[in-house]
Amino acid sequence: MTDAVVPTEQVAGKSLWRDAWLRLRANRAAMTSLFLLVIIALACVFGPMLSPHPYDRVYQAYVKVPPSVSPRPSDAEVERALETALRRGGVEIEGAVVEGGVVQVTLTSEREIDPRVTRLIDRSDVFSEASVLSQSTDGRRLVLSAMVNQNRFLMGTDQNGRDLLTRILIGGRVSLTIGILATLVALAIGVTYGAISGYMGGRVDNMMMRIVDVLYSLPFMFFVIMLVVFFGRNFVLMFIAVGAIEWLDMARIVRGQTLSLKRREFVEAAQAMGVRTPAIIRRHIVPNTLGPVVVYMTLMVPKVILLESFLSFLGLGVQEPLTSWGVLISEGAKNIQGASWLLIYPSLFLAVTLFCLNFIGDGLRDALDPKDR
Amino acid sequence: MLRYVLRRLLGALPTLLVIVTVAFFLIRVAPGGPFNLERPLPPQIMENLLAYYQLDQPLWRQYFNYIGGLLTGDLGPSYVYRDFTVDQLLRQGLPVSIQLGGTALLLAIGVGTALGTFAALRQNRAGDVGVMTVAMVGITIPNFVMAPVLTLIFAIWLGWLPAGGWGEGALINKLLPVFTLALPQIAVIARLTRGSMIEVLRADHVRTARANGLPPRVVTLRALRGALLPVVSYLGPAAAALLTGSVVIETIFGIPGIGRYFVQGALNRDYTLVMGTVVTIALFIVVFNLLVDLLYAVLDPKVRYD
Amino acid sequence: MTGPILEVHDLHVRFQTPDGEVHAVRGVDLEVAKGETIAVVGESGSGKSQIMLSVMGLLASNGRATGSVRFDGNELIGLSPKALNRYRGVRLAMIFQEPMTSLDPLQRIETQIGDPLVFHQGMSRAAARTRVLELLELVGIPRAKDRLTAYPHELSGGQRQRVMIAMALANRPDVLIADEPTTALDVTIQAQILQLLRDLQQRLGMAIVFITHDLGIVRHVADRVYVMQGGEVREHGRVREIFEHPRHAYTKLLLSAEPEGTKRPPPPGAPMLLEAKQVEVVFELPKGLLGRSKEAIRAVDDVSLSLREGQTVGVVGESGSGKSTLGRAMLRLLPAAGRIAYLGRDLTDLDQETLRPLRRELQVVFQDPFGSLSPRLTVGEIVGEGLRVHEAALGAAERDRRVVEALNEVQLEPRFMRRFPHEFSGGQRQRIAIARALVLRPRFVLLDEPTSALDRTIQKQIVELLRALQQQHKLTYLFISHDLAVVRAMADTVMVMQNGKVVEQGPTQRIFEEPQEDYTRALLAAALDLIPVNAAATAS
Repeated sequence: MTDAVVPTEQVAGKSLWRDAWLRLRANRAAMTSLFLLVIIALACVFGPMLSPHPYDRVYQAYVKVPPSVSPRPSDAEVERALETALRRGGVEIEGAVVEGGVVQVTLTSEREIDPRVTRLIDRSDVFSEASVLSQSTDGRRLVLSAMVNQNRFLMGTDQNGRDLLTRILIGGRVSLTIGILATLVALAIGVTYGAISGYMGGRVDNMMMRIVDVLYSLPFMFFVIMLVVFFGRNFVLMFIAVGAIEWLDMARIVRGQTLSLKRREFVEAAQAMGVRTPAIIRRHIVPNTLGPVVVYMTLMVPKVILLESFLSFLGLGVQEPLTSWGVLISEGAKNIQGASWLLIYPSLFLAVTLFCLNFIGDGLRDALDPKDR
Repeated sequence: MLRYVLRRLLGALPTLLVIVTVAFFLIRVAPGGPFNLERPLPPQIMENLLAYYQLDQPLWRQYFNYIGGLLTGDLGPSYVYRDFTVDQLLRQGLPVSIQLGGTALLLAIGVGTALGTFAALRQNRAGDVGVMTVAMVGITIPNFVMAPVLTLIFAIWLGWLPAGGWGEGALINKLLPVFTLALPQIAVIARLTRGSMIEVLRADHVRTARANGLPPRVVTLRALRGALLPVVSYLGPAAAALLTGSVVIETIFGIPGIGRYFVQGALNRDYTLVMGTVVTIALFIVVFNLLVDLLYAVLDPKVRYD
Repeated sequence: MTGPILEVHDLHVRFQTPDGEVHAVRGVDLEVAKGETIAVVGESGSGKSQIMLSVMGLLASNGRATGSVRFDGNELIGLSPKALNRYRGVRLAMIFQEPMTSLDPLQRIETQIGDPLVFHQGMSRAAARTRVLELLELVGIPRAKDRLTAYPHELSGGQRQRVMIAMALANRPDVLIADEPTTALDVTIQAQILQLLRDLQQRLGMAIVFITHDLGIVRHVADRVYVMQGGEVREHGRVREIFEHPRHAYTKLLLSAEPEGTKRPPPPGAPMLLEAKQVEVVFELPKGLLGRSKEAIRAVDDVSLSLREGQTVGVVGESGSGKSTLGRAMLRLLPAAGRIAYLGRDLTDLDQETLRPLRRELQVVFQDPFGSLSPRLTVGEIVGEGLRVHEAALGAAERDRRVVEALNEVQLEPRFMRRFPHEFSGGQRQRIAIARALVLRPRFVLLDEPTSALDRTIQKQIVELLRALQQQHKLTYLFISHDLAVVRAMADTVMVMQNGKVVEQGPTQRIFEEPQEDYTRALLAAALDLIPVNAAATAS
């Protein structure tokens, strides 16, 4: 036995995680969801950088315009925009011709027209680089031209004239960050607490679970509203706090798992080996509770996102001009008649994300639990 | 049995005390007060108001006063609805919330378990996928989206149902709010039932029943009884939440329940009103957890209370 | 005798799994005549249960049976559950291995036994009650009347299996299929249940199909036997012929799988290694679910025992006898009263921290090779864990070398170090567990039923491995088992335990050949000589 050498050629094993991943890959609904979710997440992270519209840019000319793929303005909108722009210029619009992105306007007036009228036009979102082409000798007739700014609002604009798509993507950043942050906090607290409580057992366990029971009976909404009151509108802090409340379920799940794992012989074998308690919890207990925990995590992210949107509905959401899906949806709900896209598109993003997370969660549960085969 | 119930209720008293204490001090520590309006009140009036409501006393004395009142059933006056005591407000609102939530709860249990069983018996087939997709919609669409959409369709476009209002509890006024309230619960219960039903159907004793040639209907019913155990434990907190009212539903449909008081009270620092609702909700949670445990004993002969 | 009542022809069973199709039964032919007893014998995974589950139409939902199953001339394969129910529970009945889980935990005994009567004969519950009482008496349940309202959890394992039998017999079936009906039971109970089935067969005249891995049962109860391996029937025929003149190599292997030989005794004057005096372990059970008052159970009651270097002490007893608890108490894995001394040093007062250095010399191998290895660690990590604790200074390369050495010793290929436990068979896992104990070069190993979860042929290999290792490393074993054949092959002295107390203690040969106590005799009779040889089986 002295010539035992570590063989160079090792057979790498298939860990349970890899096994689960292979099974998950066979689950079409979960994989489609994963793909969609990644796309949505990438769009939320990079989309606002690529978008031609800053999320807080207000286009006064385009308040609540419906979604469309063709660029704005249309001819009718050009006229309307001109009228709005020149409302206080004291001039009449005799005619306007749009050609190749340039508008040529003929103005008339009772009095002499001040050439600085171009400034009025430049002030509008729709036009830029207005310049006087010619003016009649009496000055009461003026021809000017201006560039027409072409804008696309794929999902329309909101009640303030901001691009809805960009706002949805920015809102997605907020909502997803909140969901993930709160879940991670809950995960860290819940797993540690549950594993310790379950492994220690006896009086320690009793005490620790008693505390959880009391916290369970506290109305959850009360806590959340109090948090809003305390942290004001600091959303990140607040959701770290929400995570600090949401860990209760996680702790229970992990504790239950730990209780049954503790009785498994490999834990006893480790004890007999003289492995110290923290090492047993770290090496033998926690890795084996992760299956249900991961599943619960994917189901908790949507829960937190929904909670955020609920707070937005109560008017306790993120502050303007920043936004979140919840804020957008509750604003959309108020505009449901007349501007239904304001409700439909954010709802769609939220629902698709939640759908995906739920499908992934279900898929993971099946993949991690080979009993279902 | 009776002794068990009494013991449980006594055991809940410390929990309730902790809840009341935590809630009391949390809301007091929060910045602002019930009379901090947008336009500040003249100092003299403010002082009088505080003195009138004994809010000028040290906090610990207010706390003991409140606990004392609570023991005699006195929840104090509301600071915002100044003509009412909290007791009166809850007395008016609670029956409405209970009626609404109770109906939704019954609907959710009935429809949810039926759909869950249906799906479990057709695992991974079209019927199952259909039911579970609908359940997913129920879970993912927030009720404050569902409510305006349903109102738009049934009240405004079709004109079949009223858009809101309680109408003294008329059936037609209840349809939309009850349905909106029940939908997410239907979805959750259906998913829970399906999951545990699939598990039970795979159990050894179901195989025994099949081996003995019992009719499929009987096998299913027997399995359902076992499958309902996890659903029952979910129902405790869910029932407490439903019966104590929903802010969203009450706001959107204009229903005079107690769900609104909670949020409004917290935002307006209406201390006594918030405390009143917190106590009510905590009581409901305690009672329903007890009911769930008793129901468990009925369903599962292994659980005994004596 | 007329034609066979049950006839299986060219039966195939296939399962669709995510990892591909599993062909579990590959063209099996089998027949059962009226009133005869056959046995289908094979090790785990041989497909023996799947044959009978296909007969009953009870295959898992991803399984499909093709071929032919004829019952009394009627084809059963392809029948709808409704059509099958004309036979199931009426003329064809089945009982299962796990009496703990095979009864509905939420229904009373009366309801469950009455079900076949109510649903097949249309009896009212009241009318069924008389018959249920008869059946309970028939299967030998005492105070039958009081048991009617009982729930399964209020009965013992043996009683539950009796209830299962009563349920199966309610409509006087022509064929009773018994799938490992005694495997989960203690030996003395096993013998009673087998006796009961034999009596019932003589009184009711039905045919019985035994599915079992236990050749002892086959020898004592069956007329004919089918030997299965890898989904195929290797050999079949009259029991006596097969036992006396096995033709197929696999049958020969099975028949010789009983552990053989005895252990060489340790040299005289070997030093005393581990000594326990008046060990007592008391468990406090909460009374009722939420009650405060506690009930105490003496799991180990005044047990003394001593182990010399190189010696093996076997502890035998049925479930609940306290034998495993004793083992854990000896290693101070459980709080215990009394004195436990290792090399003269008292362990009972040491705290876990001072005990830790001693643990490397006191190792343990558990029963369940599936449960005793951490599922998310690699074999290398599992075996090397003890080194991390006790030889923390060791570098990774040196640690790997020691792990490889240990794997070599248990005859496992070291290249499997990066693999995970679920990729190994039961026997291989048990070898990994032994390697984990050996890597620290211990002096004492507690073997807690190390072979009980394994098939007979594997058991034999593990027993031989353990004996060889003991010889080589002068190991001392405390060998806990309910399996007397294995204990006889392993132990120098035997201790028989019942209800936490020592019933009898002595040299292995003396205990097996001249047992002094009634309980020992009963245990030996039940285990080694199940019941008097079946007259029907041998009269041919």
